[in-house]
Amino acid sequence: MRRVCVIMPAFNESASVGRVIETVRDVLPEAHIVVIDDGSTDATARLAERAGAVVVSLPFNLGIGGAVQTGLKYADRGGFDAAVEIDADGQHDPAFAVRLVAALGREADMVIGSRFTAATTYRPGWLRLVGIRTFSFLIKLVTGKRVLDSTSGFRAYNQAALAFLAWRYPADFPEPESIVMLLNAGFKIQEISTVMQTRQAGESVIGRSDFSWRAAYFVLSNAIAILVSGLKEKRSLKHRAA
Amino acid sequence: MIQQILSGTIPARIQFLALVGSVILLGIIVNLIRREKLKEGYSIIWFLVGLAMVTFSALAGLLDVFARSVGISYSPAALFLILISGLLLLSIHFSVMVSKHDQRYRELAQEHALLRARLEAAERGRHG
Repeated sequence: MRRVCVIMPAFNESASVGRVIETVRDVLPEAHIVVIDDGSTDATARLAERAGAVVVSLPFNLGIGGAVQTGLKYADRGGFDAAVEIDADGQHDPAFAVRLVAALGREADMVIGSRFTAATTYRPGWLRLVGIRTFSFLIKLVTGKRVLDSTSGFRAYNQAALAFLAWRYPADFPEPESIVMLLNAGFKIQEISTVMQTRQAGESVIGRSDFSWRAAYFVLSNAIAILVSGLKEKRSLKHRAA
Repeated sequence: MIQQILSGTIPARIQFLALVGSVILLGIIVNLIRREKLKEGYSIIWFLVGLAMVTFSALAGLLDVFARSVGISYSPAALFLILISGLLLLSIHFSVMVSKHDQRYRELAQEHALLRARLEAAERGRHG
């Protein structure tokens, strides 16, 4: 039996965190759930604890990268065999977490819950779509591998991948960049199809349909992060991963 | 020749103001070093910068000599070149430092949070 740690980064998600934890406990009753409270100013930590999760509270807001890495460190030190990253806002359906973990194996050190590998009802806004296509193209350019949904934060890691990312994880726009890091270090990534819910609460970095400067900034920063990450020395990454 | 190096082509009043300014700057730097407000590495850099400013304003002709030797006909342009290059290098250096500190404080915050969670769990285990 694999010991699985569910990592749930949460920043002011009191409206949804309790319900998401309960759903995770239904579908993964054996899993250990840790909520990384990223400097929330609302009742997120208290509600997560009451719902039965272990809460690790950061002293101030580190942003998504710093929060996820905290969870990866927790899972690595706790000796877990696998970890699943799930958003506390309810956009990831925990029912798919089981499939993500099951797909980990010889051909996959990380499994991404993807919105694009099969026909889903997910309809992203045009800017998001352009962004995600661009990321895909750039990732292919710097690693030679194809990843369709590089911004999905719904992911499962095996022990080797989570130990590697616990050691080094990008801070600001971590999802696409961590893919490049893993691929450059020789890890294997697989995508499986999931259905994403409309967010139950909170606010996405990219709005659903309209252009915004913030979204444009997100796309541009990620694109640059992927390219820069592709320039980084691969030898030390591979050495560390081995 | 000596007269040339002392004042160069710069009007005396400007040279006097530059000298006063540089001496004040050097004074500020020395005072910061004395009160240990600057890390040693920076103390040395800024002390040398202050010293160079005083030297160049006292011996204004030195700038002309330098400008001519690198082929710049308008010597204040040489001054701007030196200053801008120096500031650029310094700001790159500060970006590196900020990135390093950013990395460190993130790690500290993470360790702090993980340790606190373990401590609270241990205390709960003991009392509950």
